[in-house]
Amino acid sequence: MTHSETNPTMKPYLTILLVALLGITTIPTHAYLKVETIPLPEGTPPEIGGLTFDPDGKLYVATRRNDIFVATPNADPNAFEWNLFASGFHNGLGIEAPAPGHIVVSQMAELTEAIDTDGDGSADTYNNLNNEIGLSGNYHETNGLCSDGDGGYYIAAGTASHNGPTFWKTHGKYSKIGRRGRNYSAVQWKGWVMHFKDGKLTPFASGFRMHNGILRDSKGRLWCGDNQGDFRATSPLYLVEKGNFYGHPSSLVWDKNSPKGKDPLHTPQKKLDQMRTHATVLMPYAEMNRSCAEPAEIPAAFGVFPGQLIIADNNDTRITRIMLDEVGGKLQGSCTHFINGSGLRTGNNRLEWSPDGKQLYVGQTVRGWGKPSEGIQRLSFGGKTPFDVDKLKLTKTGFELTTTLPVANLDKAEISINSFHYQDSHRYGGGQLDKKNIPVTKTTNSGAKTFTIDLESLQAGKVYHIAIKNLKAKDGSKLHNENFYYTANRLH
Amino acid sequence: MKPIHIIITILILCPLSQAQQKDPAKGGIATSSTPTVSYDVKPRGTVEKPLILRTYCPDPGVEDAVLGNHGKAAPTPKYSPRSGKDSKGIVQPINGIPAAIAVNHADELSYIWDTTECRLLYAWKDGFLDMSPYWGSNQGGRKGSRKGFGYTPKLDGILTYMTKGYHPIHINGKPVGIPSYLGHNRKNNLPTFRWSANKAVISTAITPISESDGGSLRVEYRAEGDASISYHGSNDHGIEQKAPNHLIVTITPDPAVAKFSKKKEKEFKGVTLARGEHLFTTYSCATCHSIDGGKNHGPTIKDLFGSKRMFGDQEITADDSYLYESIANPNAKIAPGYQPNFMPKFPMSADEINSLILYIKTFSKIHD
Repeated sequence: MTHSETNPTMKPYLTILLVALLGITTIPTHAYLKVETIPLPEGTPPEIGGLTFDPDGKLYVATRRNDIFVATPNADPNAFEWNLFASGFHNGLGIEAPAPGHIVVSQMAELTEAIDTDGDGSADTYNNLNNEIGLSGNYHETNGLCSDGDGGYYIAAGTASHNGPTFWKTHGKYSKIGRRGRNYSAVQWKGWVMHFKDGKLTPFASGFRMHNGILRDSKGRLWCGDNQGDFRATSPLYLVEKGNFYGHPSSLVWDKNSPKGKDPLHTPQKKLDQMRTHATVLMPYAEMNRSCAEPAEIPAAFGVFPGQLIIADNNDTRITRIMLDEVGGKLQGSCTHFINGSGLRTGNNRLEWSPDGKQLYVGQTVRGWGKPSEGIQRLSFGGKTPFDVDKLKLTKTGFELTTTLPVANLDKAEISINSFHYQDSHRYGGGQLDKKNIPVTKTTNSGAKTFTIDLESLQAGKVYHIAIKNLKAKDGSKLHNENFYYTANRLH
Repeated sequence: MKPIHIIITILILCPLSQAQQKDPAKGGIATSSTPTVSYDVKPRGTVEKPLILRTYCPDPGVEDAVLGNHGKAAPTPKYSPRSGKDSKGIVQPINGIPAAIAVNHADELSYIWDTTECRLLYAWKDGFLDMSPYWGSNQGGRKGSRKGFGYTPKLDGILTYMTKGYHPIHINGKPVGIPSYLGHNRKNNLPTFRWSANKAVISTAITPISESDGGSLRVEYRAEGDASISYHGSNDHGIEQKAPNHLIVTITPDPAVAKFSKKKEKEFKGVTLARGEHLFTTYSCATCHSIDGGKNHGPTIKDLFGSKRMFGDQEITADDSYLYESIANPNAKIAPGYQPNFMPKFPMSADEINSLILYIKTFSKIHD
């Protein structure tokens, strides 16, 4: 192994030396987060579609090509003893393990259960739980999965891409109208979140494009991201609630309440904007998250930012951290980096916490976009809390920020605020529109770790970019993240 | 099995079993000898333990009557993401089986069992699937760049059987109608498919007939409970009705089908526009480079040829040599506003690159 991230003993010394020489006091990410790389069996393409732990703590890994491996996690990342548990999965991009030796996988053509009934360590019984989500033959129609906490599952069914055709013969009925558009829904339930329970598949929410990964958090709330593109100006994080529509029209072709024979692509954008549920948090594409993959919730045992959501970026060496806020009874909030570089590879697709909540397993895959970047990495808390923003809340006049450590020099900090908005459209992506600087009228310490920023004006429907420079903690450390983006759907 | 076959089989199996006996602590697979997939784009099982692969499968021309429970796609107008409207041209669907299971018993037998129709679709021998169009090639090293822009793998080997007509099984005297795939059980990794139709549960097990020259197979059907099953398929096969709920069909290679599988793909030579267009489609260049000016992961090819762009202080015209360099070595110059390392190096000859350039030029008013 030549990667520096696999040699955690070297870097701290180097950093201490740098700190001593240059007086740099920013906490390096590896003092806050340790990144380890876990190899799969030699010769196995580690294209990670999904990761999960069973109730006994065994780790199951679905590779996109066909196989599912199992291992008992080891403190030594190079000492995992992998065994083949099951095979025969076409792009298994969601996996749950409801019981030891029992997995549920969302693959292209079906939701499959694989069980080791004789206890020999490999699955012998494969059950088709449901295959009512169609499959057109397009490459883009992948399915994400999470448990509903009550024996059922939520499935995030991605749309097809106009960059590829369908087959002449599709699994499930074909809609000529649904086939139109950039990202399309030629077969059933593409662009939906579906609920599967007691053998029945029911539609739950529509209007998605490519919601690659879905999470049910500890409060029972359902979250998914989506990918920038048509009807997605930037990367959004959605709170998924039953019956809601999230803005991408193609899925509506399968909505029983939509007029029959009407092409949903012909819905005017204004109407779509009225119909849709807004993103809880918008993540700027280049600055924060280029390709949202699976969300996860930071467990209390981890060491920092308990209860906060994070969401993987499949297209960069980073994971985004979300700080939720409640305004007028609705959730909205802000984002910054959880980790950006520091040995994390790109291709971040799936996030799964170890059962003790202390380690984050990251499943990576990139195939077809640029160089392959793939495999499993494991993140754990390095023991040193970074000086960072822990909470970011909207006030009547601006923002209130709570930091992880006491603030030393708010008066010396340079804080600048820009506002802008996004407009979804049929075009691919969208820029930061009407960007302007909003003057800061006052900054006030309201506690050892809390300060407020008052602005000249606030407007609903804007994203506020809060940039903070030269802010130091009482222990001398510089602010770990200096850029935050707050989505102000509503004002107080 | 003839002795010569045993020797060949042992020779084929040897490297595989060595690979699987690696020390697990060093990352090998400890106990399982069930075939796994690797970087090899031609994955294989063994005669005794088949590889069960779920993937988009090739359609070598299965007739419509067989695929009656599938949805029927239609040509669709091309869509312009820029205008949000249909544009000139039609996109044709392609051949492929979306939800089937591919099984390989080394050189002896490969077959496709479909979960939508709940039946055997076709069988072949002396190979399995070449996954390179779908998984990407190994070109550029053992692990390869893995850029695959096709959809279906290629059928590798000699086709020996293709099913015809409606489902060959009748249950309690009635045709199958709309079957439901229930799942499958595995013993020694041999699958027994379970499906239901007409309120009965049927199992199908397919095994190679080892005494043959390959491609012969036995399809064993059983119905649960007191349901009865009967066979109404081709008379060319051996039918043994063991009991009202148990029958075995023996299928031997059909030479007429084998001929069919030897059809060759169209070959291109030299620098031609047709070849350029074929390459543009084959590598799905439009995934990143729109033809209508639309924004995407890479620059549009509309009016690209002859256009000017800045690289630092230098203004460069997108001429033949610029396009050649951009295709042969995509990271040489990154157009302003785009990401490096996005576009892979495609395994193309000079003639192929020049053909692509010819095609790209057709989207500009300036042609030379």
